[in-house]
Amino acid sequence: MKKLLVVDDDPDICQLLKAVLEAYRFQVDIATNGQEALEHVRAEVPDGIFLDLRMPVMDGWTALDVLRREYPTVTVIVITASRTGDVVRHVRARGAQGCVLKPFDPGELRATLREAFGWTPGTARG
Amino acid sequence: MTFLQRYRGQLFYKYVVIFVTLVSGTLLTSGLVEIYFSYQETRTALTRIQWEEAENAALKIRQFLKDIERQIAWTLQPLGTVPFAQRRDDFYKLLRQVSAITELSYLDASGREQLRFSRLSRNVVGSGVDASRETKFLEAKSRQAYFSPVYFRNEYEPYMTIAVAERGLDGGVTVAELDLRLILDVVSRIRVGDAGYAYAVDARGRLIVHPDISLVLQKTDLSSLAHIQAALAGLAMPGEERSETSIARDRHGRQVFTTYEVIDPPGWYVFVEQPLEQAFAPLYAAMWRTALLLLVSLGIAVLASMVLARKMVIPIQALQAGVARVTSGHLDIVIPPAAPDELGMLAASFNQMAASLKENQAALAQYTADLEAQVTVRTHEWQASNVRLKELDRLKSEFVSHVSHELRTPLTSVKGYVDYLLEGIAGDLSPLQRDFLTRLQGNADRLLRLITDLLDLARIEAGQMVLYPERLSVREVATEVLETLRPLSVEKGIELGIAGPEASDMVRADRDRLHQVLLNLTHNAVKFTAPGGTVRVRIEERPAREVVITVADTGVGIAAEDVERIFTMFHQAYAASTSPGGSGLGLTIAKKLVELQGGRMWVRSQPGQGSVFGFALPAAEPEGAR
Repeated sequence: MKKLLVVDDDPDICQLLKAVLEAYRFQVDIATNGQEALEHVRAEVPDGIFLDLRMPVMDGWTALDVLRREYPTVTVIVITASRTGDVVRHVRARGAQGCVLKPFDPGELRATLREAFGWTPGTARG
Repeated sequence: MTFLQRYRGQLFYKYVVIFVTLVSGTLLTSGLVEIYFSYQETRTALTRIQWEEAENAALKIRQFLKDIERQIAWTLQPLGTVPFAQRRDDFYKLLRQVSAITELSYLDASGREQLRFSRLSRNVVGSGVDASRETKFLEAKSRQAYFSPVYFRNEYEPYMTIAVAERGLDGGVTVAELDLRLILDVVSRIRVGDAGYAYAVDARGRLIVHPDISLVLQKTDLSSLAHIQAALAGLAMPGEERSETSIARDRHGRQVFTTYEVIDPPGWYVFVEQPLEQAFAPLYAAMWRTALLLLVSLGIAVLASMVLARKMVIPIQALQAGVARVTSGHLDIVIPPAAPDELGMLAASFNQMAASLKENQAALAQYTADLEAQVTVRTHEWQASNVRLKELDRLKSEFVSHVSHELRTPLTSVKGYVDYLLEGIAGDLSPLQRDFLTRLQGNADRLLRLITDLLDLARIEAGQMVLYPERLSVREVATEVLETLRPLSVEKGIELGIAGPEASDMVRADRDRLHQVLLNLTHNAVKFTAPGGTVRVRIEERPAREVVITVADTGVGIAAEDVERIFTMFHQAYAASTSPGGSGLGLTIAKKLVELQGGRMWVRSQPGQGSVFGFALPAAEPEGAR
């Protein structure tokens, strides 16, 4: 089972994503800001990270930079409220592998999971 | 030219000229009139004088000749009836009585001289000289009396032959030789004025007496002179007054004033003449006097008028100077009133006016200053208020975007949870649960759309909408949009398609925003078209280097009054219940997004005939040109 880290300052988002991803047979950890996220990662490197951009203490961009430097192999998916062309390019330029929009469109989420982690729906719903 | 350009300060000269003209005109006129009448009077007087002289002379001469004729006639009787001695005595007496007769002779009926008495030579009796062929005899016999032309003896002595015939065929003729010297002296002695004179001519115009005797001796013929000719041809009877005297030219060509009288029987003419210059000398003198007077008066008039004009013009000039000063802004001028007349009054009024102007000017300056102060205050107020307004605007935009963001966050959670509940992530759902959750989902969607739109609008209005233009194909984006709407269109049974030429659809625009605009327009079109209808998207390039996209539907159309307002915020053409999900901001945002990218948007619609929404975007530059 793949391990994923969800980073978002909004606990509801975290819970939701965790529930959904666990239903999709992932093991999910939570962090509420960039700082925490890095601590988690240092403790145990996950297979993938869902990273929100706007967070207190340390925001997503900063965390992303650090992650890219220290853990280049980890797949990072950025969570963002607005998806303008600029953000998408920016996200990729900064080294993330993908981008999902809040609120999460189930189809889009599944597509992203498939693309990033080679996940298949068959493993959903335990 | 304007008045000021034409101005030449001519008042003074005008007055002078007018005054002088008046005075000299008057004098001149009266002078001329006087002269004219004087001339007429002089002429009349001269005529009188000259004519009287002429008449006198003519009368005397005529009388003289008549006397002689009478006396001669008195002696006449036929020889047969008068004893010879008697006749001789008569002749002797006659010779003695009339000194002018120098010779008396008697011709008998056949013209032979029978008796001759002479003062100058011997008396001859019965000479028998035949004078029957001579004019004197013939004329006397036929006309009773004969007066010969004047002839001269001893060079300068004028003589005349008078022959008088006795009555009857047997009558003889008495012939007298007349010495005309004395009688003609009457004429040559006539003097008129300083240079006037008289002379006489015979019936043929030859001088018979003249103050200058040499002229007579030269047998001067004056018949060529016009006035002589006129006299010779004249028809006026002696004694008739001539009202006109003529001005003619004498032998020397000088102009003379001439009158004449005729002496008939001999048919002589007495002329009394004087040179025109002398004749009218007094008149000329008068004319010169008048002219001199006129000149002097003129001079006086000029001087007087200059003085007068100055007196009048100076106050006016002072006034004019005063006005000029006032015009140029110096209001302190005071014109001293010269005299207590109208001009003085004018000066006083002017002073009042200047003072009043000065007051007004001060008041005006004060008012202007006050006004400017007020303007400054107001301007500051407005500037401050402007700053506040700008600040307000900024705060509003910030507020909206902040609030929108804050609103979005929990909403995304709500939607997320609901969506995944419906996915079955938390377990199976009962039909009722599913129903409730579906309703929740719908509402959450709506809320989210509304907030997203609000946020977009706020950003556009605050100028914070960031666009990422790229060179793209409108057709490509439109195809994406149509694919998104295909399920809905199929469900409603509406035909959905793209039309227009394949090429020429490249624009430079923000892809996501273009997608948003097209989706909004097309979704509306599908929403408001009944099943069986058509929604067509047409894309084509127009000559003004722009690409025009139209979304045409066969829906219900839009009422005229709504067409005007359709792009305003929150306007919904239909009750919310029939158009689920509409935020009311879609068209507003679409229009603004298009305008931000250099385009424009419009709508054409008629109720019941569908609508056409259109927008234009600048065409992209041709490939390769950058």
